[in-house]
Amino acid sequence: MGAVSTTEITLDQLASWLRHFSDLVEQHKSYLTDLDSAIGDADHGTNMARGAAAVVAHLDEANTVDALLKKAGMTLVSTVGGTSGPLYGTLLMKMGMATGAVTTLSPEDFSKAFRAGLDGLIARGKTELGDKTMVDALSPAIDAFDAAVADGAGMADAARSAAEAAAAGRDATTPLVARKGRASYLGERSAGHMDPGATSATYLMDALVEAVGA
Amino acid sequence: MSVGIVVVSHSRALAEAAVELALQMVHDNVPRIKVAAGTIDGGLGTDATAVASAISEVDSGDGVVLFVDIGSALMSAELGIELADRPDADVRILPAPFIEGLVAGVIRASGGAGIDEVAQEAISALAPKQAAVGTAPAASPQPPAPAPTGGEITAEATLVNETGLHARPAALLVAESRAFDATVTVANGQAGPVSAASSIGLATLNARKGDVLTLSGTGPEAAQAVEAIAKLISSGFGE
Repeated sequence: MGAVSTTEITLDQLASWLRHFSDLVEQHKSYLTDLDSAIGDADHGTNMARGAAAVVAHLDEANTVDALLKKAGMTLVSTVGGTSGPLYGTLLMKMGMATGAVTTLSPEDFSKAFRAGLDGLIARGKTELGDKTMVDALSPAIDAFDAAVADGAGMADAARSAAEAAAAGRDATTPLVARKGRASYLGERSAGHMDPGATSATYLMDALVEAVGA
Repeated sequence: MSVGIVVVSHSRALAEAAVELALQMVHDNVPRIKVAAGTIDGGLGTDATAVASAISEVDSGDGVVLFVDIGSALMSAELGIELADRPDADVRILPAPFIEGLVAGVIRASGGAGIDEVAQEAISALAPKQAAVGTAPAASPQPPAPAPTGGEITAEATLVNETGLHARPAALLVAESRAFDATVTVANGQAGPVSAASSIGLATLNARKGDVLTLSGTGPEAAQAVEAIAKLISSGFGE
């Protein structure tokens, strides 16, 4: 096996991305559930941990990027239980549909696929930026990723930029009033709490850093 | 053949109990009905792939209606319809109350009604409760029964059941009315007339023991239909 190109993301790295995501969600399961208990139904941590663990169990079955992402998405849909299942599931399934049966992705390919996934997620959730959802972390993340790539950054640096932007987007959800999901029932009382979905979405970008980092 | 029904809930126990409650009302021609509820490990949650499988199992070509409870049930139902990938099937998520809508929809579907009728009945299913508690819906969700045009067969029957025309006898009345090629309406004094084929319409009559119900039928088998329904009412619905 030759040196892995720093400008491409391989099938193994994508599998590693989802494995790291599962690890991060598992580590922060209680924290995510605590965030959700403040403004939701206190199940985000356990739901995501169950779903991400199920994804990891199937990672070795895929030989192409599209198969890996579609299987991971479908697994989340069938195992998460809450709204995050259809949302994260749609993100990964639509990503998979956008890549084709390849074994590596250039940063541009990754961005294109991620945007297709994010568009699918936004359509599924009928969500806009500022609704206090995972979109508030994911949308600035992919913008930052693209900006870094345009400046000549490789996969690792672009992922780092994406993770930083996701964290900033996540932090910015705290003062927002929720307009989607169970949290929206609380109205003004949802302000002052960080959004659990935006928090787990930030782990997704942190996991990408770990997967493609040096 | 009948409209298929899928019950999407966070809780398997809730969904199964709701189905049990609804099926108590029907005896013949039980519609195809499937539950998609709970997470794979028995917890609370919804699963779009389970919704997709359920849709495929109950679809017999006459369409499928989905009843959803709260939160992610709606999103899982939407995604489940996409995953089921049956572009030729008429699959609808109903904006109906979960329990009342399911009961009304099951009764109507078991009578062999088409998907439009089943959907309308389920969506209207809160009307009896709203009428009883005094919060009348803004507009009558029931299509008005046709005005008497002359030539109809009429009859009166006295309700003898202790608990009035509650859901179980109403379901029997609906089934009886659908057995004939006739259009039958039921009135209770100033209440109604409503279609005898609508359990929800019948519930809005608020008919109690001792009330005299007025039946009116048109169509080729109007006489047989009115006679059979009058007999059913007078006999106390076998209770």
